[in-house]
Amino acid sequence: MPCAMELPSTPDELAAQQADSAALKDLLKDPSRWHSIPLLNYTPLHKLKDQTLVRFRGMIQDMMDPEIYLERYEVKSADGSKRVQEGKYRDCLKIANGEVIDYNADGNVHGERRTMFVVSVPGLNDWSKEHEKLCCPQIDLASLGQSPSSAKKRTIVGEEEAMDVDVASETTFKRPCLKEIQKDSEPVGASKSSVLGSDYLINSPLPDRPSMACMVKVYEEFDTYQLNSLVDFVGFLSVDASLDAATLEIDDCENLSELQAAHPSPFLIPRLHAFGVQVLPHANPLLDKSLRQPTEICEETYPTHLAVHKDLRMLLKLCLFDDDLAAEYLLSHLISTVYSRSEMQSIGKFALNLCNLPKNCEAYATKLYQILELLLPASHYMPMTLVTLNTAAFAPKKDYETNKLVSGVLQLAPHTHLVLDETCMQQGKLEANGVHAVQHLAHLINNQELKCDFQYYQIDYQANIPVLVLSEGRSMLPSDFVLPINADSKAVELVDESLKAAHHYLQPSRLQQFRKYLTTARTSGFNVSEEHTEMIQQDFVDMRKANVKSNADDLHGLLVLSRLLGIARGKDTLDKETWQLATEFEAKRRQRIQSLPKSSAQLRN
Amino acid sequence: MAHEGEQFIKDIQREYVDFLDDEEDQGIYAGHVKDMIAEKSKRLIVNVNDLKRKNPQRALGLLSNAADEQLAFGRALKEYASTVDPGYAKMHEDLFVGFEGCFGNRHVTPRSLTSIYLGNMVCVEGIVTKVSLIRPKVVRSVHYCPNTRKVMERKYTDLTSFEAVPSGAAYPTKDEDGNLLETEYGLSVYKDHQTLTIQEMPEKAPAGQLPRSVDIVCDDDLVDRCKPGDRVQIVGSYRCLPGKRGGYTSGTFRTVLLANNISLLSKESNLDISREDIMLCKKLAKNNDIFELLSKSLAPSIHGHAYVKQAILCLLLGGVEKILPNGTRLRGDINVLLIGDPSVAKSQLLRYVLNTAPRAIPTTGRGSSGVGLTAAVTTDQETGERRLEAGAMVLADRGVVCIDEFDKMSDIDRTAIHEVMEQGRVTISKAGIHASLNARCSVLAAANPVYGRYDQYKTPMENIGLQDSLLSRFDLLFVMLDVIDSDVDQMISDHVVRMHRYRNPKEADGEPLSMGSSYADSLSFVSSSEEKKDTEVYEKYDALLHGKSRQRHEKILSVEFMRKYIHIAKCMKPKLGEQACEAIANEYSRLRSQEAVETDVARTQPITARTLETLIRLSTAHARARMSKSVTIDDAHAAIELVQFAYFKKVLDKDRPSKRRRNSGSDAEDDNGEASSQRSPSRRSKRTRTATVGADSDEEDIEPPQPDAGDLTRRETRRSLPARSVAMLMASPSSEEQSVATSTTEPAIISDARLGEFKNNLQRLFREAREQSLALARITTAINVGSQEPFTAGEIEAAVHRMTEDNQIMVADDIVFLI
Repeated sequence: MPCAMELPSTPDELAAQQADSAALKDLLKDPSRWHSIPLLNYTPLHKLKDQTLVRFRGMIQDMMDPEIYLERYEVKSADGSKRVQEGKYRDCLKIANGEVIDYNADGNVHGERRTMFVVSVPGLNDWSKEHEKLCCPQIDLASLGQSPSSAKKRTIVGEEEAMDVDVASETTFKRPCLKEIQKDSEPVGASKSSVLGSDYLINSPLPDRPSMACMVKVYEEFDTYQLNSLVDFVGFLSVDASLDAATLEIDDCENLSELQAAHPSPFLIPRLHAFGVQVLPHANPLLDKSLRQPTEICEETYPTHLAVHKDLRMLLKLCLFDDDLAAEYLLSHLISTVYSRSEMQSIGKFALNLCNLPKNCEAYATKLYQILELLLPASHYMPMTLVTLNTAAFAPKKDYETNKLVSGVLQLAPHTHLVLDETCMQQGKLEANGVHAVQHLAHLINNQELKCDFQYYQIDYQANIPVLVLSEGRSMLPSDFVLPINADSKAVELVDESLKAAHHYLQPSRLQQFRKYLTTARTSGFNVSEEHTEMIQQDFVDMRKANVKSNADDLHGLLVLSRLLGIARGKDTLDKETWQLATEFEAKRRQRIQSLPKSSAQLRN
Repeated sequence: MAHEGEQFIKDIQREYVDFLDDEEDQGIYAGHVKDMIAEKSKRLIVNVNDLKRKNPQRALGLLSNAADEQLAFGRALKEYASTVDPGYAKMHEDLFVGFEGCFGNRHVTPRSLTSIYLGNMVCVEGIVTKVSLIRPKVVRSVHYCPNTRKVMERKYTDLTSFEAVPSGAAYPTKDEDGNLLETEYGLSVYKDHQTLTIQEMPEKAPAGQLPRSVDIVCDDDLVDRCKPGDRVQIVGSYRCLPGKRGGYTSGTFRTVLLANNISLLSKESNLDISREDIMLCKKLAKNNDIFELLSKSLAPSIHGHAYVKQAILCLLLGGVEKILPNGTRLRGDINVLLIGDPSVAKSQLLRYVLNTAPRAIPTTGRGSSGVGLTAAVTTDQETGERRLEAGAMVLADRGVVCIDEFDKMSDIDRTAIHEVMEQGRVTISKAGIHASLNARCSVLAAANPVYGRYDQYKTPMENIGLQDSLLSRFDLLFVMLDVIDSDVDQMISDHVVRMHRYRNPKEADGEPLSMGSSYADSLSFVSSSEEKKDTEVYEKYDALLHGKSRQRHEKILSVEFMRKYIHIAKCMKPKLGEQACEAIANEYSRLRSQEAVETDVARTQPITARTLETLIRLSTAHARARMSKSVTIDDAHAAIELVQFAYFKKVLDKDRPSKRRRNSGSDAEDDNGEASSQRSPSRRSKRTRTATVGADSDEEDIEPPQPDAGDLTRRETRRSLPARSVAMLMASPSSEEQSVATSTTEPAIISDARLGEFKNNLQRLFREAREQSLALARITTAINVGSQEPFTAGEIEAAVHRMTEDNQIMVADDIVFLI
């Protein structure tokens, strides 16, 4: 029986079990075991014990240089006896008083590990956080009730098998000394770490929505981890106060800032020695198999895909001044994803520019975002003011002083929606930073690539960030689809009421449906059959005959739109109906663009 | 045990002395050591290959057990140097050995430098990202004790030196008896010390990964060899030092590379080109259709436009730049302008170049472009539209500037472009500072026609709507028309649909994306295929992706390979061959005169002396594509073909929008080809008779320096150029023809009065024509129109002759140039 093997709760146990660690890792494949490990994201640090198994979910923000460590080493004690110790999965070597490490022993094995700087998913919306928290084993509640005087310091993680009731049996107690250290270290850290602030160390991509950071040390397959991807790590926590560079006697002043950046206080940024890992395909906790879903939701009977689609479209229409076409496009935008890249093009991107917003609607963009925020697992609203553009960091930049990749607003996990509000932009001067910002945004929209600044050169990293631009006129940023909103004058007057109604309409159960629907749609596949290929080609040829100005880009657009319209309606292959719908929508959209008032610049050209 | 180790070092030291003392053999290293002493250098660079040849065991030992062997080698060098020059060896505490040569699998990047190389000697390449200050490090301190009047000496070694046991770091201030010591700073020896950080080169980092870095320790003469941003190759021994931790033992180590040789690589982002690649390219170059293959592989997703692709290939390859002894630069960069209807894949071609060429910079005629520049945001009152008013343009020295929407460019930028395109530099005058910056770059521009769409019933010049002065700076100008052709449209749509249907081969076809197979998975797949060392030469044929748009047997070079090929081909410096010279000269004169001949075909570009340079550049680029050392007549013909296609554009009389444009171009070419081949033998026979020695030499050398004056004066001086160079080349035939003409008609005399009349007429003619040059035949007819007393051929000839003598006009090949 596989249950004979238990997950090791500490690195010592792992060493003691003498078992094949691959077999132990197989244990992690059992979702219930995975679920039962406490989430570092939602558990206060003082409730976790050093060197126990914990989980951390987040986005890989930075990767540090490999580190060489002693995987196995010999310890000489004062009386001359020797013993061999394992050094994997720990920061501090285990030596008793009077013992010395024999660095030159033949039995020593050097290993290599790599540190990933992981931040909790940037732009994760409140509801996702709450749901994740709900899924997290609530060890704190249980342990608080029990007497803290119990000296037993063990976390029995593997014991309870998918039994929710068993949560209470978990006995985790904060180590008294840990708290003391924490108390002690804070003033020490404050006095010495004056070089780097904690904001800089934590390195949140979105400074106004701070993330939590964790340094994860991985021991294998270094090159499979991608920058900005979402991961769920399981590993041994390491929060020894001595890891803080501030507690060291530093003789070398020059590298002080680099040293501090590499060894921040573990209470600010805990360390995790990765034992298992899962790459997350999306950030939606409702559909995440790596989280234990609360059971009560499953009982509900689901309405059909189509019904949800209809409801959602209605909702969006309500929020978009009764504009049906805009609702269709916005819905398509919300489920878009880059699904293929070839020949320097990212296929599937759906950067939408909703323009022609009524000028007399105060803060409409923010209100619309409040609705979107409720629907999307992760999103970010950015007002495109001159101040933001000129001051905020957009693309990540390498700081060689500290050897860190300083994050920027655009360093977002895949499928994090970026909503840019151009209506709040004023006339004025764009400084160098602002010009760069616009360039970065344009590059992101056009290629779905993020240009990281390495000072001596730049590297493009693939991104998958749908961008929605809200503007009065056509946006100054490029976009795949420009859609002028046809605002109904009555709807404009009633917009505040409509939005209130929308909020009211969004009952928790309905919200769950919408959220699940959006993520499922985004990750589902779509095919175009051979016969429809013929049809599309013929249509394109006809289209060219009818309108000389149409080109291959239009065809790209049509294909993406028809795919998303099809997926939204729960189809998995293209059919004639969907294709015609897409053609019709595109024709309508083009008509609207035509009827837009021409700006002076366009007339000149 | 320590003794044993010392003995071992002594043994191998002897072997190394034997290696260095090769006076009886070839005397290479004996010579090197002497050179080293003569240059007062402290480091001897040894090629590992030499050592391998002479003493394979030591070479192996050196690579795998770097510390001991290097120590022994250093001592051996000192021992040998003291036999050569005892004084010199005594002067220096240590002499060092640096290594170079082939390191095989020990030639690594910071990424592949793993713990298995600890203790080994490796060769690492990367970009220097951080350089510390240079600090002195004490090697030997001398102390004097005033009480005991004794002098004591201490040597210091730390973990970065090769001695096995590091000495204590304690600096003595008291002797054993507690007497105070004074440090004799003058007698103590220090060495320089510096640490660098080098980072993996961006082009070698796998996709989605951050580049890795490694710390380098440099001592003595190696300090200050490089600055941040340099690309370097460093040979050194890799070792680990205990982590910089104080209070507790972490069991982690710091790894550093102790450099023994640093060489700077070129600033260009260098591709990973192996010997095999070069061989492969050379083999490929032997194919006759290499030029076609290369051009076809450019932007394979764009159908047709064969000539445009060829031109872009030439642009990527470039001609040969010449710097004349007096400092004048004749550019080798090829500039191309694409003019055409919206949506004819101009931007896609630009995008392809951006991805292929090293240092390609994209700009648009309007909109932001600058680095470190500001731009203004304005709001359109009517529409509420926000716009960015352009900043200035950024240029890349030795790169390609891709300008989209060239027609929308501001006049200021366009003026700047003038200078860049011909002189290869920009002049900046600001706040009393006058600076010239190099901007030797090729320009690839795309523009829309004046009327939005190309008007087939107007001349190309009217459609283009840019000044001649700017147009003449473009080597080639293409008019790309959007031809409604259902076959082509079918192909395009097929391709687009296929791109959308295409799935990564890893994913099972037809199955919906499961939750598990994620974005990151597909990324890692991409990266693993990119990591593969050897580049795929040909793009893999994928039935689903390419479909019927591309035949299975049709070979398309992969982008990666193209990059390499272009990089290698760019190193060639082909020389202009005699035949090619001749063909180009002939073609040039023909082009100059062609205008008068054909009526339904109009030029897209003025034909000036720059055309001549264009022909030379294009043929050089073509020769480069073949990796040839000389430009042959075939190259010249290919260049001529391109120019023929690009310079002439049919103006339609009636409704005939079709693909004939291309046909007409090639038809014309065929005719011309025949014509020129027919003409050339006779020309040659004449020329061989009177051929001057200078005429056959490279034309580019003959060109007089271009004065860097304003545009007007330049134009004048340039104008005289064709005359002169052509005159030199054509001198004999034209004078012969003239003399033939004279003998048949009446003697060439003209009265002063008649000459005055002729001059007036001629001036009027030039004014009306708004040209700087006119064909003689046209002048003859035009002058005699409406004139009571027509000028006879003889009179005209005499008039022309006299005016030439007076330096008012110049005649070359029956074309009259106004001076």
